[in-house]
Amino acid sequence: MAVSSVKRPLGVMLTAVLSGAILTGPLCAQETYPSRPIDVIVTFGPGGGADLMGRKFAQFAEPILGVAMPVANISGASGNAGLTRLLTDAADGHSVATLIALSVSAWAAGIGNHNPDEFAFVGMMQSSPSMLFVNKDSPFKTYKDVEEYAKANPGKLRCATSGYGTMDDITLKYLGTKGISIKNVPFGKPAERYASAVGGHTDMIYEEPGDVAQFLKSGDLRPIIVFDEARHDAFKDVESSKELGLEINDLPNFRTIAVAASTPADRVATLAAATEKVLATPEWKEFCESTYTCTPAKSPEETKMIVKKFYETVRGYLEKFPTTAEEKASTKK
Amino acid sequence: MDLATLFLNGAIGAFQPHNFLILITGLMVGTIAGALPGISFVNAMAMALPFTYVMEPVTAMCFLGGIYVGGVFGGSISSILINIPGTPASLPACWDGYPMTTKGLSTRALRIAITASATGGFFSAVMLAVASPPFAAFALRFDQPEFFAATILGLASVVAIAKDLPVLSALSMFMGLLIGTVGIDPMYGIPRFTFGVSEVQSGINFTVVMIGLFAIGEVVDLLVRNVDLKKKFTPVPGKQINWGELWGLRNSIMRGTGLGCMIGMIPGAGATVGAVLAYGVERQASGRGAEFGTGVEQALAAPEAAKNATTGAAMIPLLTLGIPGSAATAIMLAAMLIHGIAPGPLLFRMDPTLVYTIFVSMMVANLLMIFAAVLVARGFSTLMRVPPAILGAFIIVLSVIGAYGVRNNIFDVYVCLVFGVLGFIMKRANFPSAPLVLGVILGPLAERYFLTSLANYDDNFWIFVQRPISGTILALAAMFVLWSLYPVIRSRFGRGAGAKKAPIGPQ
Amino acid sequence: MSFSNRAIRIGLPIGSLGLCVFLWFHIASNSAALDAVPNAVGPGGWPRAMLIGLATLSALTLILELLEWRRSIRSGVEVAVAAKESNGAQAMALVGVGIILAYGFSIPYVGFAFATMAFLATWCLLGRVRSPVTVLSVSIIGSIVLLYMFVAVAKMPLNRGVEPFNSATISLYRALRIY
Repeated sequence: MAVSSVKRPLGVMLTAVLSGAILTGPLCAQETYPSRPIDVIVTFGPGGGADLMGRKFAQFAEPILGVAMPVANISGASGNAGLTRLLTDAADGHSVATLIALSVSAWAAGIGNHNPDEFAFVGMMQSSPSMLFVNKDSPFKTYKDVEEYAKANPGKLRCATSGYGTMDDITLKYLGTKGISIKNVPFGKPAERYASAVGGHTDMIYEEPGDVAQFLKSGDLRPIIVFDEARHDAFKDVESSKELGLEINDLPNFRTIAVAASTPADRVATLAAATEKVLATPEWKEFCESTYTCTPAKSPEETKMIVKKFYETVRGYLEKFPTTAEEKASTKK
Repeated sequence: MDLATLFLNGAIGAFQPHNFLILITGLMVGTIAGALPGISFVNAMAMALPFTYVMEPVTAMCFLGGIYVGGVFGGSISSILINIPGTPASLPACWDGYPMTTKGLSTRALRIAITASATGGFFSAVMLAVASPPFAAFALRFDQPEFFAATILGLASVVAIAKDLPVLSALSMFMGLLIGTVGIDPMYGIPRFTFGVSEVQSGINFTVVMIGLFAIGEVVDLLVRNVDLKKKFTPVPGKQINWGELWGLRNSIMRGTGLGCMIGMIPGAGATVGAVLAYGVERQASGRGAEFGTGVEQALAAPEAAKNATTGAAMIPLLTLGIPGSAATAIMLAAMLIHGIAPGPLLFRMDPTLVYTIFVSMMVANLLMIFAAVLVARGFSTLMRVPPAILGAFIIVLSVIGAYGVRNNIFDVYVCLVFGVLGFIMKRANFPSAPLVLGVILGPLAERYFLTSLANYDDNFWIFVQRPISGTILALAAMFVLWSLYPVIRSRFGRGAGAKKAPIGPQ
Repeated sequence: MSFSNRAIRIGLPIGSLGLCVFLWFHIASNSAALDAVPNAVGPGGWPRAMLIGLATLSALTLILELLEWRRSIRSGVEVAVAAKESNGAQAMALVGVGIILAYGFSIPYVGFAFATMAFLATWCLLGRVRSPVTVLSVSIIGSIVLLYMFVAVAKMPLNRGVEPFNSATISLYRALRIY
């Protein structure tokens, strides 16, 4: 009993604190923004491009916004698990998420029940075109070599990709319509995709340069084509798809920061202003240069337009190159 | 620079006071997190990641490396003391470690586990330091068929370690394999078994399944029996282990270490496959196979050594190629990328001091782990003295946090609870649940490797036996199953029916 | 082996057989998508193989269990092994499972902080820890320690619940200097 009489005041005190907390709760609901930590939802697991972007953003934006910005990886369903979480959290600007091209193209392919109108965009953080890379020992020196070989040996070349119905798949199917038939070899995990290309188990890999930067710098992978309107500043001697007469230049890998569409406009503006400051820091410039993803700052509206246009583009491509299931179904009829 | 200079520079780096202290901190954090039921070291590493932003890259790697090494061992503390595995790789520690605890030998079991883990981890770190480049070159020759074969070896060993009827283990494993197919398939993007529930699209995570199956059933039992855990931790006089007895386990530890070093490179499930395989091999090689599951010391030492021997091996592809094979190494990659360092062949040329500091730290970490582990194990043994109801309540809360923390998703908590109910039922029926967890881990890997292999090799189903390395691994898997099951089948069908002894076995 | 164990051991394979049959027709909502693929094995191939494997093993287990049952009835072992648990203990176990389920499923509504406090207290009471001081201090101090560990230090985005629990949790975090 001696013990309990010592403990009792403590218990009473704690109960008092708690009940006080509950009672005063609703009173402090209206407040200046941001007044408590902003959760940064990274929609993919640790170690990937989206994770790196989200963490760098949180790191640089923290001092600007003046609150803690803890990062939480909520992965699954091509990033849609995290986006669902963003939309179920209160739309008060205290939750932001990474929203990247891969998730948007997944919507177009029917994964995740989201669309661009459900989100307000804080800013366009990174963007880079995709490229084809070959192993350092590959006999192919330029895109022309690949084209000639593929035309002479249809379906013999194998390209490591991230799956069917993705931007990777669309690009290969587009090349197929030009008589350049390359087999799609999908890999579930990015790391295994890189290993297969570096180890020479596949002939080439479709990827954005930033994600294989270490292999480019070490020379284990060589770029042979960039799918873009123009050559990439960092790879001046790599031909662009446009100059090679290909019309598949509109599938950039962008990464944005988004909030729920119903977030108050002034809070989106606060976040957008902070994002613009982040993008202007020399540290961010250094980061985006090392990942080949620098992109001019865009307003929330411009970012939204880009995302919507991309969504429509991918949908258009998927109609033109139906996913394998629909394709088979139509040929059966 | 020659190798000696490199190691000297590495040692200077590793023994810098701040690096050294942070390494010890990491070890403690990892061991405690691993020992907390429900919380895994991967959780702990993910939570520690933001703290590494402000550190130097070397210090950050020391911190994460410490958590990794400590955490991989820590999972076995809760396996041994309360029969709840901290990570899937600690499952075998439940099978023979926990029976030792029920006999009052918990201190002895912990000492064996610590020694075996530290030895395995140390040799693996040495291998990482001296043989990384050739090992990496060898690893690059592995393609999807080889990974598939290695996954099959893992699945085969799950069936092979069945103590009584392999059918029950296989049934449980296939349940796990089926659970592993739930969600969006990784290649075609088609949702399977989702029944329109969008949360299911992310799939069912094995850690969540494991926490549910083991922790919840165990806590309910704790409540019902209201057993006094205290009596389990009163060491029996004269049963503390001494160096001579540890030396007697050297063969088991070396076998486990060897297996772990080789298997650790397999992406995805190296530590788990290594530990389970080591348990199976040990059952055949130790000569005490019939007693396994009742607290055999060899059965505890070998998988413990194998488990920590995968830590160094798993870091080889990360450091030499920049390719992470597991969740833990992916977090290390994230920490390096944040600092603008891309691991890979260039790193060895550009910043050898960093690389060798990591090497030396990993070796030191495995030695220091002994002290960290002894401290934490002692602390946890003390914790066991709190009333079982209070202990159980906190285990449940930690399990919920752990399940949530895997992907920060509340849906995973629901999944965990559903598996808790299933585990509760299975436990009551003496139905093995460990094969189910292993099925959930290995199933998605097997499917991915299988499908990518077919896509990459013109739908040739024979590719798995045609390629020499994968063919060899598959042959080994087949031999291993036959070797392991021969005595079981002979005892059951040879000497007449009705000779059933232990209900189902260690799982 | 008690009767209920026997029931579970026979019921489990029957259940999984039935489940296999059901799932066979519900692998994907759009079953046409499963097979129409460029490769030999599509997204449906692996789950089907697993279903066949599981069904086969379930049938095999069922046969073995039934044989075992017959054998144990003949040798009279069935009677000899009495139920390990009393009815009271079984009821207690079911209540325990129920409380754990209630705790987990209430987190998104009540928030992690308050759900945990309630759960810790309930579990103590269930486990015959009846001293109000112990129950309160385990529940309150325990929750606060967990909140500091996982919300303040580890920065986990644990659910705060729906209103009014959301604001209450935020106020609690402020009172604890977590926010």
